[in-house]
Amino acid sequence: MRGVPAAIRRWPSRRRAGARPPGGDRYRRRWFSGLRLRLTAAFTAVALLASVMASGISYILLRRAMLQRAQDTVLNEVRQTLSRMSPPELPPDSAGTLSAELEVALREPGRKVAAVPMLFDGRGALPAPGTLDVRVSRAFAMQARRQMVFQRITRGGKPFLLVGTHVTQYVTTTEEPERTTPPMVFVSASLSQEAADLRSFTGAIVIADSLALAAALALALLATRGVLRPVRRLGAAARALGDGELNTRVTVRGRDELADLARTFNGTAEALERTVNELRAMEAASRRFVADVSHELRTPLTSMIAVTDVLAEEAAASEAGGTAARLVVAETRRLTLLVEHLIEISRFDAGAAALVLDDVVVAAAVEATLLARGWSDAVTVDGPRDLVVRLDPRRFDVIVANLVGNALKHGRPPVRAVFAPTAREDAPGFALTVTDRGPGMPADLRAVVFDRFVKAEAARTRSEGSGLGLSIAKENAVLHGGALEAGDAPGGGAEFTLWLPIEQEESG
Amino acid sequence: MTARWARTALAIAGAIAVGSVVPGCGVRPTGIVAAGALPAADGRAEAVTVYLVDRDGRLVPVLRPGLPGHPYSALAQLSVPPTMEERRRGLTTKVRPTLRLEPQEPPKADDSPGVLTVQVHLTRRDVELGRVLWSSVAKAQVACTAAAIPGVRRVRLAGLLSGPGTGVVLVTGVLTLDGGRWADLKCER
Repeated sequence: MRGVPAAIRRWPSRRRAGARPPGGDRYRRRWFSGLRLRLTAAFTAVALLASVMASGISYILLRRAMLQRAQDTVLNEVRQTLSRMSPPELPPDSAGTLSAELEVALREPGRKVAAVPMLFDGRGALPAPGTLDVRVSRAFAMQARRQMVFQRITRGGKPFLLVGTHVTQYVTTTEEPERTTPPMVFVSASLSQEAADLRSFTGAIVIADSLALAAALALALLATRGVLRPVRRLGAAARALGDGELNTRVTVRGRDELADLARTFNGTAEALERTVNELRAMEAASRRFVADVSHELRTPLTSMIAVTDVLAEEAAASEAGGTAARLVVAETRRLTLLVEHLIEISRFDAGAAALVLDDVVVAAAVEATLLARGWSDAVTVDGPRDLVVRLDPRRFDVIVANLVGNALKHGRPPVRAVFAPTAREDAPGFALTVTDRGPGMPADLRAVVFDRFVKAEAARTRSEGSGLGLSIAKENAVLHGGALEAGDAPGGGAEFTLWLPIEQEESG
Repeated sequence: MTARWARTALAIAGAIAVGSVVPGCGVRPTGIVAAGALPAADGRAEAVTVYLVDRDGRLVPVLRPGLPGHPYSALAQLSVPPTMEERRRGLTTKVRPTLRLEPQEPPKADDSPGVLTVQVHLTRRDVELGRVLWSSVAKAQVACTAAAIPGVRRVRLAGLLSGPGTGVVLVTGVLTLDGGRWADLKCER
């Protein structure tokens, strides 16, 4: 299990590099314009439509019933009173008496009555203006001679019911019909009470509908929350899964489609976690194998170097033997270097690499590195001499040596090492750029230059480097929280840029 | 496309909802609406007997329709001009048409049983001219007509009356069927 923590540690490091998974802002923005709003709006609209329709229908029915009752009351009263008080045969010249009696009998608060004599010139009899609340039209009077009629009329904003009728089945004479014909009766009844009732009913409906709307809105918000919360949880879980938290699961509630989805998600996450864990275990096993092999190789190699040195001195006497012995010595040293690098890489893979921090003057450190390897004359160094950075000097030395060595080996002089303070993503740091005047890097190499065992001259199997130098340099840079990048120098040639932050977390 | 469709449907639904409510508020005016057949005249009233005068000056009873609720309408009918049919029979009334007889309905409380008070209204012009308003025949008409009403035995005329040659005087007379002062004509049965 030594390898597993290393693999897990890789995930947050990716996050730190700025590769934040997309979707967070979009999710928040959708909150007000997305599914929740649409669901709530639809729910509320349906509820509003239903309540308005229901109240509209009840309003119409109630109004019809109310007016029907009011009208029927007046109509029935007029009909019954007229029927009761009109004799089948009227005494001559008694219409006036009957009219007065009818007017008294039918009069009520809010109701005005006009009984007028029938006219026999073909025109309807009309009550005098002012006797009723509304004007009686000639067409109305004409129709009232043949049947009982009514009309609702609004006058001055107030509704009135106008009723007009006459009696039938009476006896009169052909010679003097005007003396024995009962009068026509017109009644105007105020419908203000009904209008007031309807107004108060409308007010009640508006209040009830508003309450229903508020309730619907609250219910809609509640319901959409119930629907959307699992969706949101699933989204968060999926994002966590994408961020590498493979043990993420969602709780399954209920038996609906969302629960099915959650179950499927859990199954998928489980399968993924299992697969990844297997892969990690396999990778860890192979890395451990490499580390073990390297460790096992080191001891015999140390002995071999000691022995081959002796052998080389002894074989130096003969020409052919000397060449062979030198070859053996060189190859043995290279093998030792390779094993050392493998062990170093294994430490990184195992997460065992740790920084030993110190305050370092960059200029002095670079020059010391060059001096130790005898490169001081081949490389020009440029940068502020007072730049002090907190870093691991041994690892910094490894990085600089690898970059400069690489430039000297693969590029052509002049090789320049330039450093200067540079901030990256608001973090203070410094950049060290190593350039050469060589042919530059092939484009297909640039993407993989920091991978292990990648060599510039792939065809040349027997190169001098281990193929791990740049990988180790990159790992060291990343361990500092910095970065190492490869590119082309403006004037041709390769350019490697190391960026390290000035501050270091002590624990790192 | 779906969103637009949904929005359109929503707008239509809202328009229906609003359209079904807004125009129907309050009491709406209507046109002229038929409300059934004309009521039938069905007032119950007994026919009344009115005494008119024929060409020979005799009193003749005539049946006229009654008015519901007016048991004494026969007296009011005395001053009404006779109908065409009655005129063809030569009947007439001597009670002046300008007089208006108003039987007290119901009878006054202080009236003794069988006495009917009739208020007499006359026009100012009659008063000014000092016309002879009550001929004996007219008095007889009143007396006989009143006598024909069941339960009435006497009639009291109240109001301004004028006797022959006396000008306008306020007289309260009582007509009785049997031997009253004004009953100088017999009711013909």
